[in-house]
Amino acid sequence: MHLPGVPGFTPPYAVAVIELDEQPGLLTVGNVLDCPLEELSIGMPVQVTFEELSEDVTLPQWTRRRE
Amino acid sequence: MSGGVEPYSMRDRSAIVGVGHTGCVKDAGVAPEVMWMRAVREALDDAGLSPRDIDGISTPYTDTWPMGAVPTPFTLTESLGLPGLRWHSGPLGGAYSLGSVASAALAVSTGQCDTALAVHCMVRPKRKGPTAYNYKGAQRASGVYAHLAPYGYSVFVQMMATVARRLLDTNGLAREHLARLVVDQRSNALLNPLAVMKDPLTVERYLSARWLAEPLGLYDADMPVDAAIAVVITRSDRAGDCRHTPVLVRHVSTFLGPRPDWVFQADYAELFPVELGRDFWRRAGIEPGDLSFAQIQDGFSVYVPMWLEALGIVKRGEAGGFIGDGNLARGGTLPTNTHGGNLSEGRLQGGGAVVETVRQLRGEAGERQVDRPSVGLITVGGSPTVCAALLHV
Repeated sequence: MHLPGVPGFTPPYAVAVIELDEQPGLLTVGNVLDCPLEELSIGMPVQVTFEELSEDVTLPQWTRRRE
Repeated sequence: MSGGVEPYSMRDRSAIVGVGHTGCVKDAGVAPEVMWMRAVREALDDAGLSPRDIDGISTPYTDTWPMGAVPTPFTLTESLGLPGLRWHSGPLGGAYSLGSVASAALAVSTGQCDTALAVHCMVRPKRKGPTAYNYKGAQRASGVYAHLAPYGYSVFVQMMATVARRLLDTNGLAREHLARLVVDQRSNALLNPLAVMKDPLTVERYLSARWLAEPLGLYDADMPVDAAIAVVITRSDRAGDCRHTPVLVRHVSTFLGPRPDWVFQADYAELFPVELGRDFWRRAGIEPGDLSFAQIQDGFSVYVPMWLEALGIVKRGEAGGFIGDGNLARGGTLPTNTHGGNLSEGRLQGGGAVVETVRQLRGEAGERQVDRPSVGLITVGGSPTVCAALLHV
């Protein structure tokens, strides 16, 4: 994503729609935190991680899953 | 054209007899009320009718869309000095300008009123900076946006970028195909005095433009403008009394998708529902091969290949090649967005497409005139509320 002015985000950053292995058809959205943008691809396996933004706020996020 | 008329068909019972269009500019310097009244006056004059002939009004005004420039039927009734209306409505199919025209055509076809006015007005956001489009709430997220905004994902172009990524990587689409589309539409706009964009565009400039949200760049998104359009629809048995050749409303179809967002979809390549396409041609008694031209809403460039596939004009995965081969250009097999589309004429959410379709079918399109057209397709909608119409002479 490249639009400037989205609060809390410095472009470019990656947003992915993720389908859970545990429940096909269940989609969720997150950022892929550890992958260079040019290496992202559709179908790439990822795993969940939890990003603590503050004492009150923790977001489920995603990192590359190495097989 | 083929197929018997179905017992409940609206087929050809209404006709567009007047159109008005202010032209698209970045700053009209006047209030929206002035713009839409200019368009209304032009449409009535074009039809050879007076305000008192209007007994129905539809506009795309709804409480759920922040489109403050759009008048309500109340506003228009008062502004035109009418004693009241027999019929009024919001948009059909959530599809803005075309939805209003479709509502009006249905009302006229079913005897709710005799002559209806459909109006749309758009205002370019004057606030500086990207937050002008964050009206779905990067700052205050609710509903589905509560699951998106925390990830920096709340602006329409970002969501359509996700869809575009999938089309490019898995559905036979290439940026070079989109380049051809966008550049051809710009060249159409240069022949349209109502268009906001006045400079030619090259494939090189398209491909090297800055990203809005990769893989969508600056020229993949439509151009916000100040503009208004108005359309007069009357009973086809009275249309011959009007000033110009009536343009008959053959059929309109709408579709409401299973979900209101662009993100949590089972199949991005079918975000524009194929269910609409399967039904649309049969009910209209017209086939894709009958089309003289098409005006396919291009709020983003990728809508065009999606619509082509959803309506079965090409098979799934083939729209990119079809566009890349120049079929949509002037002189191609299906000239498309002959006015420049929302990308280059301006963001009228299909309003310009309606006016252009009428002018093409009347043979009034000047240098961009399609050779002896008889049937035009209009599609509007960029989310799972969509509308498509077939007009003919």
